[in-house]
Amino acid sequence: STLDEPILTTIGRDFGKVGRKTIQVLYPKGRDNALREWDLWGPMFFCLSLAVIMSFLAPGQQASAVFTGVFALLCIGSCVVTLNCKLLGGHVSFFQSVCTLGYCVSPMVIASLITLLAHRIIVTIPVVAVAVAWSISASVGFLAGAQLANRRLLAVYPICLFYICIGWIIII
Amino acid sequence: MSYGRPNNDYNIVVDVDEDEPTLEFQDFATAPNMQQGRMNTSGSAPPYQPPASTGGGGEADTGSYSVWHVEYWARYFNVDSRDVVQRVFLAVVPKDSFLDVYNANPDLWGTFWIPTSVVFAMFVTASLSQSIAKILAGGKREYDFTMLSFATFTVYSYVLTVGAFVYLATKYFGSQPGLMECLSVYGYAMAVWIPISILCVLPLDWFRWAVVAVGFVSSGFFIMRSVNQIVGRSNGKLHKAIIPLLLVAHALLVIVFKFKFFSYTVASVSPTSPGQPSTPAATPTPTPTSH
Repeated sequence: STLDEPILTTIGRDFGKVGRKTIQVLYPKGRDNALREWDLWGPMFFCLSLAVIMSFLAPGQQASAVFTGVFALLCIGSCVVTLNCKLLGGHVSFFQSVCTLGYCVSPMVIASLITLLAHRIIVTIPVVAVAVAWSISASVGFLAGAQLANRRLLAVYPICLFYICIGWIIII
Repeated sequence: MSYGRPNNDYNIVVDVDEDEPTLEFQDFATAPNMQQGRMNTSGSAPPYQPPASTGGGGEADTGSYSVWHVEYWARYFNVDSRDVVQRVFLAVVPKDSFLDVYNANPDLWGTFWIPTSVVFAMFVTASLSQSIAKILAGGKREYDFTMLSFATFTVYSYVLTVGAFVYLATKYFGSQPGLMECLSVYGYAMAVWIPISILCVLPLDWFRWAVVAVGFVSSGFFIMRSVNQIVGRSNGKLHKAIIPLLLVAHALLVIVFKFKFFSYTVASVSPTSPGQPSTPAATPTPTPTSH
């Protein structure tokens, strides 16, 4: 059983799962098999790292306000967007959707890292734009299995709003 | 004048009186939860079917769910994309009656997501105009994150408190409002501020005032017309007095918007006073004190 194996194996397996899911989001080839089993480690990790990077980018004494704000926005935003999908009649499980939205934040983390390293706005805007488009298309691809007939727009719009909001905070 | 109806199922004794609404016994033996089943046989009040109330259990066709189940609230999200677009249109260009369209199929999607979009749009455009002004003034580009929390707080509390106030006031005075429709009137009324905030990025003060005035007139007219329709459902005149109150509240909101979000000119962002909302300065020149 898993209690007998060395700790590194256990941790390694969890990291492997997280890594596989991240790569599934970043390079979506084939069907979304990895995302079927949800976990919240990945979203938590991306959420925290994004909040930390944003607080580095924040002006002056607002660093902690920015950290709090970004973290809250990510957590509450994922929940609200998921709730919206469920309420519109989509067939998604709550945690799976939160997990997917969290993993789709990973391009934004990459974009914010690039922003941190290169403070030039001429670099920031296209990079963040690409990252936002990437995140949106990844999560919309996941939504394709949720069977929303005429309400696709109503479900996709909050997702776009969510990622554009994060992207804007990175640009700014 | 009173008469009894000899009926096998129930006896209704009706007092017909010109000024008061009729008193009658409601039949609760058959179909207790049918909202359409109110036997309104009076001649004095217009036969109005009140919209689906939130209090009673959701016994329509989803079975009986309580408030804590998602399925209970899913009733209110039964709209398609086309419907929402149509409702937003009706809110921005108040040609036809919004409430008639809305009450046929009440939805909460617009009521929540439109104020949220407004919050976000105003934060984006305000920080954009602040950054532009700072760049033009030669200072370092920075932004004010607390603006986002302020925007969230203002918009949400306005929609919730004033909407709830309208609901309670009209309910107290005898109209039959629905909580959902009161909140939705205010939620959809916010829709006009999204294009206005985009337009207000242009640092021309008179233009901003003009655009804000247009927005105030449009959303104010929409709110007034809808509230008037709700108020008109009962016959009293007393509670038309709440309409000027609503107008004042709306004007206050618009003024807060203008001065907090739409006021970044170059003159206001000299390095000595970062991020202060300006008094309307007409000329976009840097302040003499900065150099």
